[in-house]
Amino acid sequence: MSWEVNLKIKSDFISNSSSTSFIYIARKDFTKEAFYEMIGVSPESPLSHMFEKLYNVLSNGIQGGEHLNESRLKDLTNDFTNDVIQKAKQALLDGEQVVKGSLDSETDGPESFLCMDVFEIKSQDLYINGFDNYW
Amino acid sequence: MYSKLSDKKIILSLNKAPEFEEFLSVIKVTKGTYAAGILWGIYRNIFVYSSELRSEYKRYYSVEYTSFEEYLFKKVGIQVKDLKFDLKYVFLFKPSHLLIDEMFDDNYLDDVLNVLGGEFEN
Repeated sequence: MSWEVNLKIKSDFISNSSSTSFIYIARKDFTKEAFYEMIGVSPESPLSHMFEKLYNVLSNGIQGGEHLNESRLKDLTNDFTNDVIQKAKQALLDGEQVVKGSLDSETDGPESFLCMDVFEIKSQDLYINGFDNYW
Repeated sequence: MYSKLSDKKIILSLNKAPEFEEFLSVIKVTKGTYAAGILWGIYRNIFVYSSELRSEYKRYYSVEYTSFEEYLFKKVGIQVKDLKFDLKYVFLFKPSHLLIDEMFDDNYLDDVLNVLGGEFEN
């Protein structure tokens, strides 16, 4: 009897990747200026490009996200608190858009950072909740 | 100024170790905001979870080693050319915050260190 054994050898690092989601509620467009104001960054910041990248990550997540209606809100109960769901429900009644965006931990540093960070950022017209982002 | 060591650690020399509020002010971020929270993580990585080698030398090793350079070479195991040893603070740290971790191509380590150097080196 002869044996042939094939082994795969992985030479680079092995990671445990994951994705998380966030809820975006808005009555106005999500612009870079609005984001900077929400998070407290001056446009003249010497690290403006770093915050701009975070904006782009969230903006892409929103653009590629799922627009929710009331029937889809119940699917959020496993990941988001009742407060967030109620806020989303009220936003839909008020004619605002509610989007569920996603973040991936295996892309680049800024997206991985947001994917693992637990955050809630808000202004009068915009609300982003990343409470789902616990590992 | 700063140097990147072979073990991915960074040695950063400054004439002033900024308080967190000063760090926020230089980066033009408002205290108590989400961006301030992000910067707290980066600040902590550089200034809290780090060793300040000059004070360690003065406190524990100045009798054993006759110069700071000798202490760095023989005790800490680093030899950095062109480092400004006359600066007051010499921090040694390993970037682990995801926004300054060079494991990712899209990191901001050099940007943060250049801001610190430009503001607190002189």
